[in-house]
Amino acid sequence: MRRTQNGDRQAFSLLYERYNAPVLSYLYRMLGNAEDVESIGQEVFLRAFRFAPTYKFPAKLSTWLFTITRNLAINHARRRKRSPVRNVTELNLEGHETSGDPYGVASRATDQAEKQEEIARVLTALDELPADQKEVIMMGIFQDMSYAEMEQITKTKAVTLRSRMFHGLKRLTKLSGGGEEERG
Amino acid sequence: MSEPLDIESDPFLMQLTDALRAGPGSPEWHTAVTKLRKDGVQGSSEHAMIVAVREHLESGKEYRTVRAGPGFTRRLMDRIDEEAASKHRSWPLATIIAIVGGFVVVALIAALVYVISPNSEAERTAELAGLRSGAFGQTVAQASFDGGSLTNWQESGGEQVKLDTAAGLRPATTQPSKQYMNAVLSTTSTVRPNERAVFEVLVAQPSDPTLIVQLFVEEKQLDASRPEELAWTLQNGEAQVALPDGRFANSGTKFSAGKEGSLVRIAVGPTMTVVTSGGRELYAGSHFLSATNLRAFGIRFLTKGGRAGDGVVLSARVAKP
Repeated sequence: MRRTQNGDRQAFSLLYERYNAPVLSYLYRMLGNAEDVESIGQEVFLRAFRFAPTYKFPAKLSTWLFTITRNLAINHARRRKRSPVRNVTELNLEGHETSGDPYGVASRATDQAEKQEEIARVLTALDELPADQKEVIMMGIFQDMSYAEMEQITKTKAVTLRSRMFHGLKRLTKLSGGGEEERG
Repeated sequence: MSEPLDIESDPFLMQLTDALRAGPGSPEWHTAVTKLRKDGVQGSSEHAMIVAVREHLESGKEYRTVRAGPGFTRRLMDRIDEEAASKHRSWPLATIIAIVGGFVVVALIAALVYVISPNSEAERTAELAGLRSGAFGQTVAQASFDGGSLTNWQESGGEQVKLDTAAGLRPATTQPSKQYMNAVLSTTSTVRPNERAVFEVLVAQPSDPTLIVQLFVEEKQLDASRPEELAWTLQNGEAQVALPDGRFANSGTKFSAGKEGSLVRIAVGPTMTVVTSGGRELYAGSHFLSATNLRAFGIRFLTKGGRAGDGVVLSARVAKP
């Protein structure tokens, strides 16, 4: 990172190689739109390069990068600014055609049909969650961030994040048909 | 709207939310799920369903996982090259004329301001003189690191390494690490940005050559877009002053202190600072800290772990006039 701070493009390439998948996956999960992911993903790494000198050691690099990512995603959602829709085959992300299908993911996770159905229902229900609950699940579960890291990125108390995690998963049980209300 | 959880007073909810984040296979998961299945806890059927959903999410972690393809990478690197090149690109004549014209206008305004307020330069000089030789008799925070309790100080940010305060301040012994870990002690008391204050610290020569020692003045009420810290840094036996925008105010200056320690002094005023160490003035000039945010003072160690060595910071004091 110190070399990137001095404008070293090769050092930046290593940072980009390490973090492009977590950042782009987070954006894809939060925004659910490959076009938006591509435009915001470009902006995230462009800003990381441009503003590298403002990064302060010994802050965790992933925390700094995800703070930029989250802020851009929130700004984007706030502005509702959509990039022009293009043909999906022209997009430059790898893996989104298969990993965006919950049934495809579920079928690779297990051979049991019933379990596949449950997994796919839960994954599908993720998009129905309120944004704050979805965010904590995306960061904590899919990005494997601790509550302390999420606290720094979101500027939200850890106890609130724990509550959102609990209620988010509880709501998922209902949305995916596991709760008593839906059964009744 | 979901009802609030009383997580802080319910140890099991704390365990459960830890487990839900860490996921199946983690020690947190094993502890919470074992308790849930064997002991039974209030609301356990609901908790069991939540646990099942969490297991499904673990199985579906691949969902919406993407990485950059060659086109995405090429476009990004082109944009970065373009941005780097634009910094060196020559400007059109009209732009140069406009910029020169702008400078002339700014210079005229600056001259006018100087004529109207002839004391501004004198004020800066006076502020520096006050920082160099003024008396700072009102102690805001003080520590002698002899094993006694520390009032007006707190450990912060150092999740990875604890501090040992028994015989001089130093990072506690830990397992060696390839990465730098940090340990921080900072004042809980603050000073207002329009006040003068001095941070005087007696620093001994670290026995660990990889240890980095930083003494800093930081802004509270941080705005993420602003710089926030003025720091004296000791690394590889050399002392430097880092300004909030990341620039170093001086080239490395040899710092030799021995076990008795040498005084490092950071004096800050409303706009200026004077930093001295080992009797040498390393920097005197603008500190570029915010004019509105409160200021706190602190000591940070960056360590690669291993044996702690002798105490590095022997005493510290923050004072106002």
